[in-house]
Amino acid sequence: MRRDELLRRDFLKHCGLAGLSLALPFGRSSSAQAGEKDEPYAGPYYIVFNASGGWDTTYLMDPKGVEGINRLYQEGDILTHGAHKYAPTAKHIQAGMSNEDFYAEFGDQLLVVNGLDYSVNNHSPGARYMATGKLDSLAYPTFAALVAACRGPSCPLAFLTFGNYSSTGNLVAMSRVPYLPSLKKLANADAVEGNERAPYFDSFAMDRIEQALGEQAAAQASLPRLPRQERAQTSCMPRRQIRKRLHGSRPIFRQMCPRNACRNRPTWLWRRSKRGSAYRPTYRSHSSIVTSITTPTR
Amino acid sequence: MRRTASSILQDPERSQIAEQNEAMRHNRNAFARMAASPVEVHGSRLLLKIVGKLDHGGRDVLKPDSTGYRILAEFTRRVTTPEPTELPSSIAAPKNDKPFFEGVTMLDNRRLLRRVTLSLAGRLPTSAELAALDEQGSAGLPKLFDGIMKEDAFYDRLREAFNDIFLTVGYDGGAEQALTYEHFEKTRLWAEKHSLDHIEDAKARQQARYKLWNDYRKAILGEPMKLVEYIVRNDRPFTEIVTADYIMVTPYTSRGYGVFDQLHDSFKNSDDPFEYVPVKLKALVGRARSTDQESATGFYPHAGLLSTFQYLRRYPTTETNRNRLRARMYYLHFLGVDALELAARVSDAAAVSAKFEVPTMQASECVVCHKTVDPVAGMFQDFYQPEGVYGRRKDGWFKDMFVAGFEGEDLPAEERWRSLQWLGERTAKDPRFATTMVEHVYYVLTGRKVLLAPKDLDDPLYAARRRAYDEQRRAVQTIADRFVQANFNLKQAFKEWIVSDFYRADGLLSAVQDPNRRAELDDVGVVRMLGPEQVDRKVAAIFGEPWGKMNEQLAVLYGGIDSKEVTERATDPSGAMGAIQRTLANDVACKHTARDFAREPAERRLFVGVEPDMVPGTSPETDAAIRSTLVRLHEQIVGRTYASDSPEIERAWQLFSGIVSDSHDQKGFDPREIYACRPASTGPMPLDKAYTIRAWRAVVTYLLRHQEFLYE
Repeated sequence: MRRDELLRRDFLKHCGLAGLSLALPFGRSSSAQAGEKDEPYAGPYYIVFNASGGWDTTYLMDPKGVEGINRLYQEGDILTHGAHKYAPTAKHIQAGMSNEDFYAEFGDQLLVVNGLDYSVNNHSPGARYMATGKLDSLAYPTFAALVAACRGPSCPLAFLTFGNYSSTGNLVAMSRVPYLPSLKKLANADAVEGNERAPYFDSFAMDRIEQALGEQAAAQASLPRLPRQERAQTSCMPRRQIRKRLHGSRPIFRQMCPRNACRNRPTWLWRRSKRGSAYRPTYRSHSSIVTSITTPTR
Repeated sequence: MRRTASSILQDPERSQIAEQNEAMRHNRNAFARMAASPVEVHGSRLLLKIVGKLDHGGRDVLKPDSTGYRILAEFTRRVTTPEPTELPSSIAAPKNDKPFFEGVTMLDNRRLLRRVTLSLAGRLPTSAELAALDEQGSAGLPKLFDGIMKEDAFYDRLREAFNDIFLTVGYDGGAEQALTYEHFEKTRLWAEKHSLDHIEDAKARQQARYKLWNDYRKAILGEPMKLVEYIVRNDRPFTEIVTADYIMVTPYTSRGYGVFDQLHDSFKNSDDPFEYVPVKLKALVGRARSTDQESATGFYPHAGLLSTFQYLRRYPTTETNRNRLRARMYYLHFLGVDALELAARVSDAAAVSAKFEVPTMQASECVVCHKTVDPVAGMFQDFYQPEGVYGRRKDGWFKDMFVAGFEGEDLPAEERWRSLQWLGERTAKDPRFATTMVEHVYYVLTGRKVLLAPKDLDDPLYAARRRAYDEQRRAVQTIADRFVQANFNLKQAFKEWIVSDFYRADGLLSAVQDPNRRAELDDVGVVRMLGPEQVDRKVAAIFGEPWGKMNEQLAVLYGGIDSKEVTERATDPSGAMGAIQRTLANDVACKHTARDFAREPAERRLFVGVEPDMVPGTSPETDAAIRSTLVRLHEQIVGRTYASDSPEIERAWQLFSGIVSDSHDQKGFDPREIYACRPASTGPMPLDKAYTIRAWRAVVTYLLRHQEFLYE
């Protein structure tokens, strides 16, 4: 197994244990968009973490070491990597990657924003404000949904969300857990148990079905319909597109979402630390990829 | 928003008409005073403040070029020079005197009945129901709905849908942990000690033990929603959801509470894990005297759902949260108010913390919500154990919170032991309760929540969105009034919504291009993608058995919930959900087509007038029989009745006959259905020499992929 693959697995696993949720907007690169040739999506991929319940960033990218804030290290122990300051954890690490190793490997690629004060006086509006940039409306999409809608409006799993505020603004459909065995079957929805060598229909029959469905959809589309009916109709996707694009997603899931991690995920999310349950009136995001929120769990 | 005399924040949108008018008048007068108050020579105080030009604690809330500012400027002009004038076109809403539903087509009675039976009872209309409808027309609908709402399947759906709202099956830990160690340590694990000695085989005995535990846990999880069912099934006022002085228990769960012997004779079958009966528990007795429950009557102070252990455990608290989550959920569930949205705003939290010792009681931007939320949080103060159930806080209730009470009325000290009952009684009388329950029924029927009021005045479609919102609010209020008149019988709310234009809207007479009209109609029509449980029930209603694969991971992937982390159903299909729909269509058609042909003609569900050897084009009678079957399949699967020479039937005919024809061009095809689609046990396997069985399967697959099947 390659090291980056291993890291991704561990990363997700530990995120789950820490009670984090994430949204993965999968989109198509501009070059792929230009082609529109049913090619599997090649990236880039966006991962948005929402550390609901909070983690203590003073143990990673926002070290303090003063006034008893941290007991594992003092101010003089704080390490640097270029312009980055980070907390030393190598002496205490029991599993996973120490900060020292993390910065040695990825420090040159990081942009860290230690805190954005949203100054919102309430929990769920704060989460929404952070995710969408809009405080006073429920209609706007999250950043993740917006990226998915822009990059991959026709990707079958453009926007994966694992919870928390996930409004799509009707721009893109959200998907839930990518469970690899399910995905394999879905990628071959026209074959028995996803086995490509056992199609439900001979190809000439399948083509006839698709043709009839296309004609039926066109007939429906020619009728005056309510806006909701129009939206429902446009959710259909040609068979070939679904299959190829789901196929394209599978290797990504295989790397990013090990079977056990996905299976066990529901027991991890929303687990809160005592600190995480604290009632705080403000919201701060702690880096460009990690956002920390303190909010009562529903 | 307005504040009452006791400074409780309320939302006029949620109040009754008279209260709304009073609130609007109050607010209007306050604005008028401010608008008429000049600041030296600079102009209206109101207009200056609103753009941040006066030194005050707020900030600029409107831009000078915004619609909101222009409206206020016009308001100020009218207050100071009150001659009647036409509104400037920049802020005047377009006039629209036409009825809201003009041009919208409605479901006819037969299709309405099909929608209702599938949605609420998981079945198709019976021939007797259809005959009654044909005879009595719309006048017969209420009686038919009454019949549907007596069926067990309706209550399955009711419990499922109300769990979507309350999520009570989703609490953490084992189900039996809702019964705390402190008060039920000797009884809650009864399933472990229950004698199964009559089962000699050790392995079978262990399996029986597993089943005992599973049934026990399932029965505990089911109690809160069985309370909902009990109230509705027995036509009791739905206010009991917050006032019932009982809970529902089964022979299994009553053992957990230690009251089985007391209830033994109440059960028809004391071995049935899921026979629920109402019971009033005695006040809890703890392992230590200090944990005994105080009670003036000797009974547990039940307050419907509010005091069930499952509800309390589903929404637990902590030393820092102080029951505020519970208060929030109480407002959301029973009064339709999202407390966190009452006054969301930005503020300098650090400055507030530095300035005030107890910001939640002193800083206006905090008090605005905490004055409402914290008293209700205090109502739960005796349910403060980490497990979520009974137990007082060791150091007494917090002094740095507003005292326990409800919207300006403090909880009397002598009522503390029954605080949730006290809260429930006031909740039941609150007009917001009725409208909230009516909104819950709307959610059950449509799968989505009622509209929120549009806020963006600069939205060019604001007036249209506002009209849609107002129209729906009127319907909610009208139905709520009738619900109250019917003594809070929830069935009345179902019946009112079902016959409303909101539920019957089915299409348009002509295409609408006007963006304002499109915005008005944006949320009209059920057009609901069926959830995993619903689509499985629909398959069962049509084909005689559910698909059976829509569970666990696949159900969540198909937009279902687990009541824990995933609590909102996905209502728009993603590509993955589209693929599941394809799989379902292929698999269900595969399972049922050849199987139906293997049955005697009189026993068939799908293919009554045709046989595998009937090939299109061989005789007029054969063609007529095939077309007749196509008509029936459309009626059964997509609920549409078409003439045999209609374009829809012609399209299906072309599909069927085209496949049969194409098959003749194939070299040596197998004269049998594919292996996976052969019936396992229903008589001899019919051969498919003419390829018609596979062609019929293609027709069924085609119909199962129609929007009309997958949507409601």
